[in-house]
Amino acid sequence: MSVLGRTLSGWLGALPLLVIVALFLVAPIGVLLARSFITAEGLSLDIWAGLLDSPHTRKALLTSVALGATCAFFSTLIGTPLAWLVSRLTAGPRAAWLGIFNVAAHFGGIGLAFAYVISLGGYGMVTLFARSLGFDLHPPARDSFAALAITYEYANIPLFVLLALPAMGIVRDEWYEAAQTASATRWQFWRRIGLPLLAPFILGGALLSFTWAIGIYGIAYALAGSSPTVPTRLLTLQIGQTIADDAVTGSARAGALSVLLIVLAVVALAGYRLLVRRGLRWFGGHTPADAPTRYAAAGPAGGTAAATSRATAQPRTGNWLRRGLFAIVATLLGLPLLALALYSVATRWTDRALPDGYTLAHWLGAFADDRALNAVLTSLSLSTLTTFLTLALVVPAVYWARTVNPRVRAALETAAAIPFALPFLVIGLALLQFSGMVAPSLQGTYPLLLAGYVAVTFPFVYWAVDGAMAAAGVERLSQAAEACGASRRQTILRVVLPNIRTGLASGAMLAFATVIGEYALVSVLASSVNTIPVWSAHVLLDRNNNPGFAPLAVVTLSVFGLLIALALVVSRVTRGQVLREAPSAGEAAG
Amino acid sequence: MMSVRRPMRRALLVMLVGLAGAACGGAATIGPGAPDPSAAAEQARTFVTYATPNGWGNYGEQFTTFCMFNFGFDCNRPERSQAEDILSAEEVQKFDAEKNNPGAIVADVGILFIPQAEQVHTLADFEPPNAGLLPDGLHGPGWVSTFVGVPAFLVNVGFLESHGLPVPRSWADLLNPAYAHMIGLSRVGVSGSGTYSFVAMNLAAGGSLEDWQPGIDYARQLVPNLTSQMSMETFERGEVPISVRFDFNHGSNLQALRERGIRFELIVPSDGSVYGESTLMMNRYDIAHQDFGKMFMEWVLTDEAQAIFAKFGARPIRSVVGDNRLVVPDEARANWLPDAAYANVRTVDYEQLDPGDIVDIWENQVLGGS
Repeated sequence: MSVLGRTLSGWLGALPLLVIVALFLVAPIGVLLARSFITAEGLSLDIWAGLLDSPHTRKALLTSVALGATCAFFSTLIGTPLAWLVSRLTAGPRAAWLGIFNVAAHFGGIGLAFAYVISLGGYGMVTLFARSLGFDLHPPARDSFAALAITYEYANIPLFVLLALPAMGIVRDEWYEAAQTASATRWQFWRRIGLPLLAPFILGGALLSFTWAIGIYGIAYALAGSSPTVPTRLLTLQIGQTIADDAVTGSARAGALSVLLIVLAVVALAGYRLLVRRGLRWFGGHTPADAPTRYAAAGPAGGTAAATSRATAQPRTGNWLRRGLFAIVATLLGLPLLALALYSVATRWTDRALPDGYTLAHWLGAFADDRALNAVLTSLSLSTLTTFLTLALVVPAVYWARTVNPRVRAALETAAAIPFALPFLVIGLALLQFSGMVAPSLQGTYPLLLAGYVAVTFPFVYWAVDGAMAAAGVERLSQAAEACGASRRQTILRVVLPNIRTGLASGAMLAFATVIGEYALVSVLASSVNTIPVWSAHVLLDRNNNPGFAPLAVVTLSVFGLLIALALVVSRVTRGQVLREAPSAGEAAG
Repeated sequence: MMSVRRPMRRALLVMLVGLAGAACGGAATIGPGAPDPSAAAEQARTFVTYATPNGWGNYGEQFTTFCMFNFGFDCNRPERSQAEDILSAEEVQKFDAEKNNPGAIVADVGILFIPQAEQVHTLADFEPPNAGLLPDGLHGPGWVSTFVGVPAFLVNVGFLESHGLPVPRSWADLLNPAYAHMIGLSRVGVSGSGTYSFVAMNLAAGGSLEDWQPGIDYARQLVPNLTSQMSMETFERGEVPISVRFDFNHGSNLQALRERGIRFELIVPSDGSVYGESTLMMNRYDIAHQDFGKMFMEWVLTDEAQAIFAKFGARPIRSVVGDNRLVVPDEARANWLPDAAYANVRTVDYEQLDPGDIVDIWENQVLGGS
């Protein structure tokens, strides 16, 4: 076999995925970066100078950082004890809570913004209820900093918990027992042993929270995007508005603004890696990036479940304290859902504590509305296609990485960091500019959007499948299969796939949930493709012929119900093990 | 400072546009030739328009009447109207962004944004023969003025009274601190109504198209009272009881409000407002619907079409400008405010107004300073 042939066969299985990733992720981002230094006069820093010269942009940068920091702070403060408590639950309740957090983490975007408006808005459920009790409640205006921070946290805290959960497994119960034997108090144990061990992971989680928060676009757009005063000026909002508003110089300015976001995200991610490496140094005996890393990362099949089931029996924290915290969390998560449910059956809701009357007409009629139905069908087809395409590309790639050529792995890990760290809005803009250069006829089309979604969801599927393959030990499995004379195709179909179905199921769930609620990418790349988030934003922000909020409540709840149902199915497949493969310590350190 | 930068920006643009033009050279665009009616009848089954919902400018009735008259069937399909709520600047951007997959043949856009559309070269090279009914400057290749709007206040009187608040009658009244977060406004420099509202504020405060300082000082005081322009539902409940919009903007909404027994009032500010022209622009790239588009461009300037605009509450362009003004029949004026309300309304020269500059002023001097 020639050198070329050997190289090719070493990469063959991963090639389709790598090509897609190169075309729809790596190249566009590279071009975006390059273009922020190129003006009509050649290489120049003009675009940057002009940007940083504008008080508006400076303020946006500051506000974005402040909002990111606020969200990171509260996510850490609330998420850390939550993650600890969940990690010490017995298998059943833990699976239930994980399912809830999983769905909550993916129930972001326009639907969540809508939920804020109808719960805590000036005429939201909570506000009206408090007023009817005589409290003159004035919740933060929907376009204010506080409103955005509260709404972000609904998705951010669950994500933090999912991310921090594997790390909680590293504090062993034996250590606490040992500390007790040495007559340490619980406080002393946490101060001297527990927190120092967990600190790098917690701080790392805070940094990731920060990165996510500064990159959020859909929620910010739905809450503050149409404001004439933009009290909460954010980089993402400014990017989105510049793209949408300015046909003349918009793309170039938005590109430079995006590079600001990229810089912030890369710095935060670098900090995260550093912290996680530090945290892992205690587990150094083996290769530092392997033992606890894998352990932390092999979510669905191995690590977390094993780590936490050991800790099950003894509740460490006072029972009432734990129950109280869980009750508060459940209430907070439940309130917006209750508001959605009430809105979906309200005839009209003026200014009383409860709707003026009730009807099922919205449920019966919501899908008779052409636009709503069209949006639901489009989103379902887009999510389903993305999920299957991504699985079909990722599975052979990961298999190749594990059994044929380890270098595939390095390439995949690097590429996976892009959608993980960079806001989808920035990726969308990069794709918009890049497609304009190389394939203008694709612009604004469904296929381009689909390719974009495959590129941004692949890391989540990749981590899930990779974790499952590690746990299943596919290397040994395929050696055994080959020894029995199986062809590679037979090995993959008959041996590997059945053994990684937990990874397939949770990866599929992640891809599906990501796409069905995604607003930033579609709004930048193909806003005429009428997905559920596009339709929802339209209904929420419509200034004129408003169809009312009821159909929006029906569709939003239906999506939520669908996600719950999927989570249930997935948890059935994974037999109650951890659903989410959080892109956790291992990947970042690896 | 801005005036120095602008010519440079323009020069750069011309270069870029030239480059782009050279790059895609052969792409076919809509030329000036007369439409073919039988082709138009076919195209009437599939055309799409932006920012022209049934309830805006009466475009629903407009398309129905036009197609019944010319082709004998109603072409106002629900899918006809897309991107209903996008702002003027966004429309221009959309035409440009979609040039390889044109999404719509015509769109309603504020006249201030026509120069942007000309810069990025998205307008068809066609001008209807009857465009000459309008004075120069109100029509051009690929666009004609259709009707005028005046920034005005839609006020939920019932809500304000029940909260012991006065009804604002002038721009100066809007500064009352009691209206904190109560005044809805669209985005300045991006939407037609938001931009013209800022122009009107500036003139009322004593400024001119060259001197924005009075408007900046005024708007800085107004900012704490402003909030997002919201749906009629939020207006109705009193969440945003004062809405600054074009006077005609409320046509279809007003009827619904009346039916629900909401007490409201439409007020043209006593310290002055301005006429803002709405136009219909035609997408140069949507060749597949060019005959339909050309016929419709001609239609909107006919007496019938102008009366249909009037029915919705807007003053049709031919009734406010030109030598031989159109007399709008009484029954079409039912939704109009009395002429006396417009005593202090002025026309402004849109060519002196660059929305890009107004965005700069609004973002960096009004908001940036706060």
